[in-house]
Amino acid sequence: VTRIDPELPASTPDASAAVLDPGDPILLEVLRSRLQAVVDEAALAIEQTAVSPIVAEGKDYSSNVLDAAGGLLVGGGKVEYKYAGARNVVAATIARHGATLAPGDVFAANDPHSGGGNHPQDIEICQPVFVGEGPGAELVGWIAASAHLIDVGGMTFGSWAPDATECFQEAVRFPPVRLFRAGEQQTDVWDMFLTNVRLPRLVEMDVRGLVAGCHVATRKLVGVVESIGLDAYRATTSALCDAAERVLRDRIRRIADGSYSMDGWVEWGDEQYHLPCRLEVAGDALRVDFTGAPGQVPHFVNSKHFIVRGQIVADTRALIGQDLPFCEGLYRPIEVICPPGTIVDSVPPAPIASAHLDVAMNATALATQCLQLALAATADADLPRLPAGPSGQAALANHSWSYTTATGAIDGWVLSEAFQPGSSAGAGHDGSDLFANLVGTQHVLDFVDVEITEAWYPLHVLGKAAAPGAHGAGCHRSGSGCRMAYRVSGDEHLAGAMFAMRESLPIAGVAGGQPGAPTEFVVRRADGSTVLDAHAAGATLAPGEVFEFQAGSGGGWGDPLDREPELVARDVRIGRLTPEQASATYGVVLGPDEQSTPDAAATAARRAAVRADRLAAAMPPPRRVPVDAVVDADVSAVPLHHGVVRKGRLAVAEGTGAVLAVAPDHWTDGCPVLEEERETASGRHWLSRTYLDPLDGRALHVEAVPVGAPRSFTTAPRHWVDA
Amino acid sequence: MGSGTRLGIDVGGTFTDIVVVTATRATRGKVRSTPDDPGRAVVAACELAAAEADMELPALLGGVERFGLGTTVVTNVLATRSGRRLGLLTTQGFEDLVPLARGNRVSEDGWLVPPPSLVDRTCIVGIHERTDRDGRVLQAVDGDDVRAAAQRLVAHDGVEAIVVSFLWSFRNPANEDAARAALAGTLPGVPIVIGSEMAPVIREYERTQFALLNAYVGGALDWLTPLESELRSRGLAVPIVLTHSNGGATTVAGARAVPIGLAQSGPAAGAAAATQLARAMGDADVVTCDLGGTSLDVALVHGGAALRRTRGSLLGHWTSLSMVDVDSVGSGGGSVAWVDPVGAIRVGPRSAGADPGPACYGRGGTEPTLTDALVVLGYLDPARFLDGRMPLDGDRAAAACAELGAPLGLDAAETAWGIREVALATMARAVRTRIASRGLVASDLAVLAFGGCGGLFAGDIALDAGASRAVVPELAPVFSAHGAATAALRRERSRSIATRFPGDADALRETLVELAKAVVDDLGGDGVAVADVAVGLEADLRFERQGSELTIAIGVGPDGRAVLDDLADRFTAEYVQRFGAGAVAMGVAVEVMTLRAVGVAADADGGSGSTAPVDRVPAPAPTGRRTVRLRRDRGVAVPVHRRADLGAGATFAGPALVDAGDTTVWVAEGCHAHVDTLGALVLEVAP
Repeated sequence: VTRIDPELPASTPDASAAVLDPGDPILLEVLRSRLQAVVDEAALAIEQTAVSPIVAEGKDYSSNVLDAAGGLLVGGGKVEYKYAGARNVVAATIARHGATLAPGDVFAANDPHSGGGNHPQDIEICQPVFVGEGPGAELVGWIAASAHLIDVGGMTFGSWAPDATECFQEAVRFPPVRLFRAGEQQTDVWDMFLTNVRLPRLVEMDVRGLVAGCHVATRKLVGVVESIGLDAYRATTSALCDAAERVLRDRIRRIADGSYSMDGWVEWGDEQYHLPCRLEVAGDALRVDFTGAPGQVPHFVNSKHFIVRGQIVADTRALIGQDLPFCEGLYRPIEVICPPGTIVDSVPPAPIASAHLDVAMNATALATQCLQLALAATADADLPRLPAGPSGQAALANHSWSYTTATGAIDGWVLSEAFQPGSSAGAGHDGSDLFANLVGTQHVLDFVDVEITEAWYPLHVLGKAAAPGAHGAGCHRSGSGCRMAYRVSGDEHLAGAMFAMRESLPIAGVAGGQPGAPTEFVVRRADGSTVLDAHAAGATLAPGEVFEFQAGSGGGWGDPLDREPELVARDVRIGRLTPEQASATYGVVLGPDEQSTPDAAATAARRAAVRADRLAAAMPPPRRVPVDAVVDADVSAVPLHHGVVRKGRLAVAEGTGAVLAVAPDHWTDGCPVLEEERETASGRHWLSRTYLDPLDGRALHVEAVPVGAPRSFTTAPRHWVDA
Repeated sequence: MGSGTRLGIDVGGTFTDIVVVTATRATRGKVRSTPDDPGRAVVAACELAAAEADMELPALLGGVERFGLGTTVVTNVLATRSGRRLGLLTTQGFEDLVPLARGNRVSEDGWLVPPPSLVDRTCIVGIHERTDRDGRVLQAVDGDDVRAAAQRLVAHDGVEAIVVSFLWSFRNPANEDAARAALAGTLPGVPIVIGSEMAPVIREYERTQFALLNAYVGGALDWLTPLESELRSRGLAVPIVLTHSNGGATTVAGARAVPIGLAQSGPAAGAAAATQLARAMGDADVVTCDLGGTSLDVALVHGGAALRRTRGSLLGHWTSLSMVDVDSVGSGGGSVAWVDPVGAIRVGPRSAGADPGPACYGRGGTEPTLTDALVVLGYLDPARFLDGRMPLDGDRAAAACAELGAPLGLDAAETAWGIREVALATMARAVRTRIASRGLVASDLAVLAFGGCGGLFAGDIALDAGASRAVVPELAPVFSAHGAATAALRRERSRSIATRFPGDADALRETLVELAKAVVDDLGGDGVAVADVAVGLEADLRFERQGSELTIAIGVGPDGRAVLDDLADRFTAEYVQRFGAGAVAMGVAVEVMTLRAVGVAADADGGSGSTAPVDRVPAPAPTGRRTVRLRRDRGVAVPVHRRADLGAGATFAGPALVDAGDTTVWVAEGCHAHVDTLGALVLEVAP
């Protein structure tokens, strides 16, 4: 039965006059505002009816309105990455059930391989929306909502099974199936699903919360369409997407054409899978190419093309299109190439529980880093851009613990807020603590209060803070990830699974900023401490034992020796840095008055000494600049990289005027290179490689790479290559 | 109740409004506020009211039965970030939690940053102490540690007040008490604020924020005590009562003890007046729309009471506080129109404020605002704005609109038309969301509009949101002051329970009895006789582990005992009403999170009676016509009524405008309007 909402009569007949241009500046906003109200109301219904902490308090859900063909019109809820799942489930539902859709149908899917969302734990609910009655009812669009369920079956509580080698072991899997057929509950389907999950009541309530949200949104959307008329609705929504596309293309056109690349490594224990990323900027389009990605692996890190693309679109919007409506138009100028059968676009039986995390987050960070390289080579002052480092989400410290209660039931938790990393820094901005992003609209997770956590679970929290340390150092430093420790306070024996990233190789900084912090898990037992793998399965925690972890962080921005000494002193004061770290990393020497003021003269001397030490310890430049490469004073400077400009055919360090390379050689060729081997808490080694200004030792770029890996990035804008 | 004079005052940032209601008439006035000593403007407003009534001040004040005051002073301290410099002593290992703001981030020019912290991280000191979830002290406080930390904060960091807030202190305040004892007498002139004392509720972030907020705005209400003395010396025989954020009234002492309670005083006063009017309208359910210069504030009155919430944000500071549940959107008369990158017209949230204000104010503003659009469209008569005391510049309004519209190919009038449409869509969205968030049905509701611009949008909001009628009260422009005059004294006490329901029902009943006794005592302290107190009992319930609770009233049986048997069922029924039957899974346990007693003094009826049937008579002929751009492409000559000409029962049909001097009401086409017996203009929008 199509529900026509009696609350919503036609209210602005003038606005829908058919003579209007579909891109009419008034109708466009009136409609956008109403569609936003539809998803907001759905989000309210979901938030207030869902029960699991990850949804109710963690806000890990979304609601969307899509057009009849499955194009995204507007999103609600806090997690933009989930919009990709909405597009995917509607496309798959149309493909499977397009011929038999009826008003009152509600579909659910969870298998990313066959129409689900970001991973099997994210259930996708969608509902076709019809206007009109009976056989004449017309499909006008879709509502889709998604939430992270606490468990969807499989080998491990929480359905993150590090031991799984196939998707069949991970979860109960289903493509789009009907939960309601023409308004009638399909109890068989519910029974089959709920029989296969742990905590079925909790799961059922969360799913019903999503269904309630879809019902609310469907009713409201019908009202909106009827108030402005079907034709005007279709024309205006399509104009909205077109306008967003047009503006984004205009901005891309301003970015320096060329090729930019960045190498990344996806970790699994001691394995590091090399993932190359190349960004081609050509006219008004971006092409992100992962050709060369390794074949899919028998671990749950494998991803899917729609997930990788969805995240790249969201993060690209955060950098150059934050003021644009998040709709289908933003997807069109951004092509993402993920070869099938590889880790970036796996096929069954590839396990896929972290399809939106390890590979996808790293791929997204690489794409963002490439885009930052392109923006650093772009002169256009009118291009709205937010210079921030890559999202810190590639350093999440997820983990779950579960136990059997006295009554034989299974309970457990995924402390969604606690795995929060620190964000990368940006130009002019320190990173954010316990929050992965510095730009964008991803207000992801509300922390659960310690008192609520302790009231619900048999644990006693010993501390929860922004991790101290000199990680992510820079002129602007990174934020810190969560550092938390808790003790099992009851008689329960806990079983745990880690599903984290960045235990071996931290996220690199930007513009000479240093890499961030790696992730760490430790169990403290009576007989000593054990470091847990970032993908440990079958971890145990006994009564009285302590679990301690630290989420990683993004990197810094700019050379730490350029940081305002007062800010370094402040970090010492609040216990984030030791005075030794202030001196060693930042070259800041504090005065005698209880750490509160830097000693200006001693700091200047110390910083000069550190720069000299860097040059002394560095390897000579890979390629000597010809002696006749002299800067022509009349040639104007064009940006090439942070702190590096192109003058004619020469790459020149902005700070000292040192000539670094002659086109088309890479600008780093004339930089002395400082390599330092580092070790993580788990005993893994990585290489920090710094490209220095040959005259003053300032860090122009710092890489974080596996020991032995060559230069991991390339900046080849057309204006340089063709200079 | 009595027939004495009720006097209401609303102390705003710019103006201090006064309303004097007697059995026979209501007068209103406005004086400029005096922020350095807000009491001076209060006295001046009283003098103005006395002069209007041709009385001496002592004679006026001596006849006052109720002196109510609402104020935005506390809000302004938050808005201007001009509160005290704070130090926080908290449980060691958790020092970062307040600045981390529970992961909340706000966008500043596109950068995500935590909301401003009430206390700088360098002024937060961890104390080695701990209490566990059962209230056992695992680590007692060392008084020397506490003293040393506090003294350093005062001496080295210059903090002006110290807050002590430890984990689980609401369950056992021993460590906070010990800290207070250690600090007693050591820091003269530095207030010490204790978390568990201000709000003994679970969730350390909200509890700590509540203590911080009170410490931060402490002192902002110090002027009330001398003001009360002065007014008493000039004839006032009753105490001043203040409008609390929860929509009730509190005393000067009560307000000074918990000053943050007044943070939403203004909106709460509006809701209090709305509640009273809703009762007079026969217990109607209303959605209130207070449309001022910078924002639209939306609240709900349901079942005879303004709906409240127990947690929420005060200008970006999240805390636990019982408050009238008000949503605010940045869409008011001063909201600035702009064109976004995709070429759509947008309005707000940025406001031109009072200075320079809209372009038509002629004070240098050049950006078009909603007010400018209303002038261009003809809804506002520029010559007669504020009774002609502040003529507007229609040419500047048109120029501003024309400039905005030019790149879009729109002329001034069409741009203005678009600005109004877009603003209306934003307003309607806020109203719809508000109604939906409580699971109410719009067609059962009346839109009650007040504030400077409320009358111009009341009918259209009602139509758009699906409400059946809109009501614009006679005192719409000074409705908050009116609310301050009528809000009932109200006290509440609550206790965190956080157990499965029913658990130990006798223990719950015992707690309720204690809470009820406490509010009766509280009101006794405010001078209310026991016989005049009505006590209501409430429980906040939720399904196990849900993120939010529903507040359910608890009945009292013939034996005087709280009826708990039906509580879970009534919770489920309310849940179904809000979220639909499909949202309920069977067999999930219900948790009782909080029990609460609310005491209200039985003087709530502001003496204004109730609406009665009235014989509809045709309104007197309109006094003129004004061309209003009703259509996108053309204007329509619309009759203009003078509000003063419209007596009870006067009936007319839209399109029409009603000029009331300080406000204008728009009656749309197809809409029937009449004046009810209380003087409110009622617009019936549905057939």
